[in-house]
Amino acid sequence: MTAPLEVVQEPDLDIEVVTEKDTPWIVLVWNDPINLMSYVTLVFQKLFGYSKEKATELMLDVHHKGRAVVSNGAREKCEADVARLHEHGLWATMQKDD
Amino acid sequence: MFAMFKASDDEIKVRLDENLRALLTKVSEELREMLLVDEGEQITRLYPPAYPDDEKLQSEFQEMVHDQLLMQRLDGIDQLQASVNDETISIELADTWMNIINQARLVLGTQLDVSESDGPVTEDDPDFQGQVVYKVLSHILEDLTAARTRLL
Repeated sequence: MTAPLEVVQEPDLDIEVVTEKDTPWIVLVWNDPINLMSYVTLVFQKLFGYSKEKATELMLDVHHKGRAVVSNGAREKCEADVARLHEHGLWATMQKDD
Repeated sequence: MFAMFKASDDEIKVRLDENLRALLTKVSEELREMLLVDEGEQITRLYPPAYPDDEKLQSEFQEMVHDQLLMQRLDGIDQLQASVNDETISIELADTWMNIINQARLVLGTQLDVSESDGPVTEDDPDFQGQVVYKVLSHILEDLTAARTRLL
């Protein structure tokens, strides 16, 4: 007698892949005692096209709160943003936006 | 206060005296030597971790960007030194100057362990000379940043 075929539930791979792919990443800039406030503001304006007001607000968040989220998006985009911030001497990291 | 840089149309007039121009040449050359040695805490500051909590991703990121950053910095030093005696510089060159001056400040500031609460420099400071150079570079960068911001 042949045993009935066992129905194996396949994991829903698509859901996992989509979730991983769509998880946004964020780029953070951290406070440091060396970078000038005016320079950091200018870098935010140049790299991200932020207005003077928005760039100043982010710079003040970095200065007073210790860090600020300056960009977000797919992992590759955030890696490119981090590399450009490092090129300009800013202390930038990235992480998943949990 | 006398401005060392002045924004004018789409370029920046440079009003540094010859001593400050010589200083930029000297510190940029010292930066080049340190970049090529590529050792020490002060140089590590120029390559912060993108993924501080993930060794594997950080290793991949570092492998991807380290040499590119190094080449950009060495090229920037060449450009600064080639234009250091110019009376005017383009916006692109101003960006390069700012970048290299800031890298030199980061290295020196790390060596000197500067903090936001540091007071004025005094002659009895054992790092007096380094502190003075750091302050001068900070003034130059502050002034150049102000001029560059007017051209956004």
